[in-house]
Amino acid sequence: MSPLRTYIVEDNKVIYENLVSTLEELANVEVVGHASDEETAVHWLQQGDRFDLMIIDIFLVTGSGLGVLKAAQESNVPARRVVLTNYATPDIRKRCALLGADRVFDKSCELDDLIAYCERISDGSATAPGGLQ
Amino acid sequence: MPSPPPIPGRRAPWRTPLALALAVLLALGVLAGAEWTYQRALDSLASLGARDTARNAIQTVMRRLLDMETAQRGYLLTGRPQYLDPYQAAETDIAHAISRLREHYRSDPELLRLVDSLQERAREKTSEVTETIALYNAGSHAAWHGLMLTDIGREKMEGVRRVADVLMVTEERRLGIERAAIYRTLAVGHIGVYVLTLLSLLAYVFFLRKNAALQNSQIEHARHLQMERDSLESQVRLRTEELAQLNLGLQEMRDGERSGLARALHDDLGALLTTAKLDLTRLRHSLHTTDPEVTERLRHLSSSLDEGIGMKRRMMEELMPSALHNLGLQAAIEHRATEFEQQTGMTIDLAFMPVTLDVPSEQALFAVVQGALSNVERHASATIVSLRLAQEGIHAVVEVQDNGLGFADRQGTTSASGLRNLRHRIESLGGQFSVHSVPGSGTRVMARLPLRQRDPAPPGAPRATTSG
Repeated sequence: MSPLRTYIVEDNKVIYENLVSTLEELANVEVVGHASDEETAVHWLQQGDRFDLMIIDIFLVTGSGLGVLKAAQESNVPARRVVLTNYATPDIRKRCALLGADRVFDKSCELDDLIAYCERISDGSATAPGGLQ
Repeated sequence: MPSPPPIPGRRAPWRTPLALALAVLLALGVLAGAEWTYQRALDSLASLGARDTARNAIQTVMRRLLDMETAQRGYLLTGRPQYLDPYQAAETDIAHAISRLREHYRSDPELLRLVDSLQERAREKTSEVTETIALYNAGSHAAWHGLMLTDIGREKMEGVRRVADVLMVTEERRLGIERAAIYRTLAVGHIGVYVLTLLSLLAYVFFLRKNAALQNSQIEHARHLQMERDSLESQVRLRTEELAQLNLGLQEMRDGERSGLARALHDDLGALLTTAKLDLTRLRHSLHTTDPEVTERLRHLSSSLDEGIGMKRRMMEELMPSALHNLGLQAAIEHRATEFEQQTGMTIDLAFMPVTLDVPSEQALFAVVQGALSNVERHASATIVSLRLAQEGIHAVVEVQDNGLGFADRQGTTSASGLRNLRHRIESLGGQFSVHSVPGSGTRVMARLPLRQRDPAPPGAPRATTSG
């Protein structure tokens, strides 16, 4: 089974490193790139590299995850986009969904769900990109 | 501060009693002068009357003696007794006239002697007449004829006339003196009136000048007071501005500290807790244990971490709304509005125009929105709230309007003090704040701040655009 090519947008180095090792250990994820601000992420998107999954934090050093989602939506990226944030309010969930996010995970209490979701993408049992659930 | 100059016109407090004493003296002088002139005139008039009486008396004596002489001659020539009537009346009249003269000259011994002499001469004349008539009646015609021829009667008459003339001349002289005295008195009174009129005019001019000086001093005093008031007001304005600046500084410092704390909570504590959660997840997967005790410990650890994360989030939100901090004013307002609708069941109509503001301005406007919404929630009993964020000219405007009860005056309440704080905060940033409320017609809270370009974000500062 080929690993899940994943791009991560996260501005906190500690979280990023721990997230990468956790995902690599538990969910057959291969990290293909990383950004800690909106501009870098959007620039990477525009390069057109192939990837399967993008994990996006909302609050970034500069810009926001919402801007990254919008750029991905506008360039019709086929990969799944999920949001991993400390600020998973209903309002943010709604706005992320409108910007083409497949899922929104709360950084504190939905890490298991993220890992499970990654596993399901790997084995193909996850719902199609663009689906809310 | 310079002390006020002494007020002119109030420097010599002894002047007022002196002026009063002078006025009283002047008034007394006027009264005394008038009284003196009046009394003098009255005395003179009385004296003139008395002198007339005296002159009449002298003339009466002379006239009666002449009557008597005429009667004597008529009787002696005709022998008719009716010629004697004036003779008989004359004696009484002469006695009366003499007594009047005595009365008149009672305080003048020299003239009294003249009156005595007049009386004596008159008596002598009378006795001469009486004797001739007695001789005639006795039939001694040669005797009375002889007596008449002796010229005694003429001599007696001459004697009386001389004394009477002396008296008359004396009277005339005294009359002249008294007339002169009257004219002098009148002249003195006349001059006195002029002098008093002049003095009164002088006093009036003096009073007018004093009055003008007093008025000038009052105007000067008022002007000085006004200057002092102006100076105090400008000092108060200056101090108020200083206090406002100080308050603004404190507010900015407080906000800076709060956002610093919030950032530390997010970046450090948040990362730490998230990492711990990740570790826990990995542990759970790698342990593959079915030991219920271990499972229970892991579950408890996870929920403790969740509680810690929840606490951290609440603290962050209280310190600094993370939406405002990370996503900007519009997103923060949208977020707050959604929350508000869910909590209260009211509807919020949002109208947004993109605005560019610096961090303190965004925080202040967001504080206005939060304050206004919490007032609506607590007091307004509204159903619809409209919330507008717009750019008007060089200003950013936030307006919160509800359709609730409104209020006439809520001075002293917590909402009033909240509104006062908001007003202070907006005004210290150079903006305007207004609350318009009519009972029954809802309340409109409006804040207007000058647009300020945000400083370039320092590296590491979490910041987002409001796009999307």
